[in-house]
Amino acid sequence: MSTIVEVKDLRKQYNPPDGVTAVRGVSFAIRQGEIFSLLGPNGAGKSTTISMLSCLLTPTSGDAIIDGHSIRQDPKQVKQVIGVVPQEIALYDTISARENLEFWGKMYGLSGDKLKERVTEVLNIAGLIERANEKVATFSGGMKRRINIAVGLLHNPKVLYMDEPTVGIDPQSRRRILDTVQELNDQGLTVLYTTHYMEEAEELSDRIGIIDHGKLIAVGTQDELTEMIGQYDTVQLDVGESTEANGTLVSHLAGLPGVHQADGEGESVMVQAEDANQVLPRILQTVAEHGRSIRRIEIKEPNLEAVFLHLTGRALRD
Amino acid sequence: MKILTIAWKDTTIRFRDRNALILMVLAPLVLSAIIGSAFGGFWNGSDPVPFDAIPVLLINQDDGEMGQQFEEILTSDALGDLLAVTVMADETAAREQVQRGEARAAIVIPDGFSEAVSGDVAETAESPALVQFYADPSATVTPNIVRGVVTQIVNGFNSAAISSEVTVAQLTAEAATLGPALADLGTVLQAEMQSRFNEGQPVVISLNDVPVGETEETADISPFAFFAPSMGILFLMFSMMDGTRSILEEEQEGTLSRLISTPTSHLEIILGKIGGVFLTGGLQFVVFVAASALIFQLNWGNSLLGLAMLTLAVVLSLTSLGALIAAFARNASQAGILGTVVTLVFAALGGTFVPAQNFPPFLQELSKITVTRWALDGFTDLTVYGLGAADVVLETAVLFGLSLIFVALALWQFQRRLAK
Ligand SMILES: Nc1ncnc2c1ncn2[C@@H]1O[C@H](COP(=O)(O)OP(=O)(O)OP(=O)(O)O)[C@@H](O)[C@H]1O
Ligand SMILES: [Mg+2]
Repeated sequence: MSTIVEVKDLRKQYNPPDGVTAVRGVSFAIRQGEIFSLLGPNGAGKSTTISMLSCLLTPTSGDAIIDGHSIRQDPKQVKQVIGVVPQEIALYDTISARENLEFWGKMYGLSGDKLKERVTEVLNIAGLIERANEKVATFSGGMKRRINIAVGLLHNPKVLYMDEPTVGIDPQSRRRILDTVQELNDQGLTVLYTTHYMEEAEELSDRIGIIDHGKLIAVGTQDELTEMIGQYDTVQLDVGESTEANGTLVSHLAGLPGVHQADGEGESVMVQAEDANQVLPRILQTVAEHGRSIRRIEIKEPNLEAVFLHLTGRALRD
Repeated sequence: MKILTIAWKDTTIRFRDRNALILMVLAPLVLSAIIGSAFGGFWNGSDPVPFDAIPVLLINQDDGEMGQQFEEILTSDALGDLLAVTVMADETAAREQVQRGEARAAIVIPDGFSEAVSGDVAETAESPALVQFYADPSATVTPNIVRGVVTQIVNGFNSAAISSEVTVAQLTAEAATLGPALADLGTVLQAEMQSRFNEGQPVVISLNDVPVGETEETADISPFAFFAPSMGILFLMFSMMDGTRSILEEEQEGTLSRLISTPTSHLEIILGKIGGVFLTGGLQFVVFVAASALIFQLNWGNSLLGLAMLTLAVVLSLTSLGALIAAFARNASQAGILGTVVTLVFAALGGTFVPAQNFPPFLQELSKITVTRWALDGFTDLTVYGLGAADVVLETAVLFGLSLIFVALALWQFQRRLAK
């Protein structure tokens, strides 16, 4: 498969020379027809990266080639081939969904019958054809998100950027959006998807880039990434009190035979072990010895969460 | 094309916004009605005119019959309601009185007027009988009325009844803008003229208009003809500030970023946004003019061309001023505050609430830095004085010039701003 997006050492510092450096040398490639996810916590630099790839922000250094066009040299051509779904809903509230789509379609250079046709098609994709003539202001968050996505599809882009498209909506709408992304991808659309939900990245992506503090710390398929950290299980324990007060508990857990690593975060402790079931009794015993009671316990097979934890020492979610 | 699409999108959004409509159309109508009626309700058509017994001085140096006739016409009962004519002999003293503001105008009928009119010296075109007209240039309305009457009489002597109908009709039209009681002036004058002249006379008389002195004087201005444009401009300015601020609102809402992410250039986007405000403002003002004309029978002057020119210039200058403020404001709320302050300061300084003619001289000069002053000057020329397109060329040109500067600065700053 050929490469359609090639990101080369992108960097962005806001308000130089003293501003935040949000992206610190990110490189990756997206192949035609795949869903590539950027997975990272809040403030990791996902939106900044997407903004540079959309030619909204000029990189401080580095470049990216989208379908043969440089974001620095020919932003206009880049904009023709990309569809952008911004993280914040960017629609005009006081006009109808259809009017919004017609307006944005014209901004992409569509007109006449072609425009009408595409508006109807994307309204169908969004599942909102019956409510097309209602003001966007009257829509639920999930419906707005769907129209927000539909705008990005109007001009049949080759690559669709979706920046956290499921944030803050109900599970039903989220399901619908994930299915839509999958369907569009099945029809050949290349997708660059950002999220801080591990489950979404796992479900959708062909390949995943893990981003933290402006750096891409790992790239690969889900299997490749989990193999990186070996086949560890994760035991997550909630121990009523903050673990800052019980650093000894964490270090004792880390020292148990069969335990690979232990980390504390808030009220929970993460223990990575080769076989969770085998070490569980000893974990429980150690916790009891420290006078703590377990509120909740969960065993996870190796996953991206664990990968992130392994690479950064922090949980993906705060 | 995309510029128009953006402009039209904004115009649609604006005209569907009920609050914006109230601000744009209803508020100025209601306010000018209230203020106008507080100063003397004009729209029931029967209220007294503020112009009566305008003090005028007449110096008749002619000892012939025609000079006598001129004097009789001017002092006739028909004009008695309008003019309080004092006949005197000393031209210099008369000029001084005008200068002091004790009289609004002085008219001098020269020696040899009768001979000239009766055709005795008709061939000597280089010495026409010059009727001198002295008026205080800072006075506004009343000298125009007097001048109108004198011109009328002079024309009557010149071309007698032949052309008087035309000129009388003109005067009637002008008088109508000044108030209902003046409307029948033309008829009165015409009757007066026709009783005196039967045949055409050679053209030998001209009116010599001499401005006198620098006295400050309160302008007599028809309240509604003044306050309708003034409120119209004030609220146009509010809504132009509001409109241009939407660029910053779009910046905050993320739709501006989305616009930039489409294959549309920064310049197209900015021009589209500014164009939308301009379109909105144009429509707003046209609706306001039409509504005030329909509801309050406000006469917006006799010159459609002048009105169109001036409206274009005013809307453009206010739009570009708004764009300039938006371009340099940090965010929408700062632009809002700045826009309101500028609007109110410009309004006060420009003579929205109290006509600038009533300001002390230095403020009168200072007020010329405001768009509002030029706009108001132009509109009062049209609505209060019933002047034509040629008389608002200066105001129009100044406003276009200012627009050019504002727009250039705004574009420059917006381009810098969008290139992040
Ligand atoms: N316009 C800006 N000016 C200055 N700093 C910014 C700006 N936008 C983002 N940042 C900073 O850059 C860093 C990365 O932000 P970015 O929005 O790219 O993260 P993100 O991964 O998209 O996070 P989230 O999941 O919250 O959307 C953050 O520290 C943020 O505070
Ligand atoms: Mg983001």
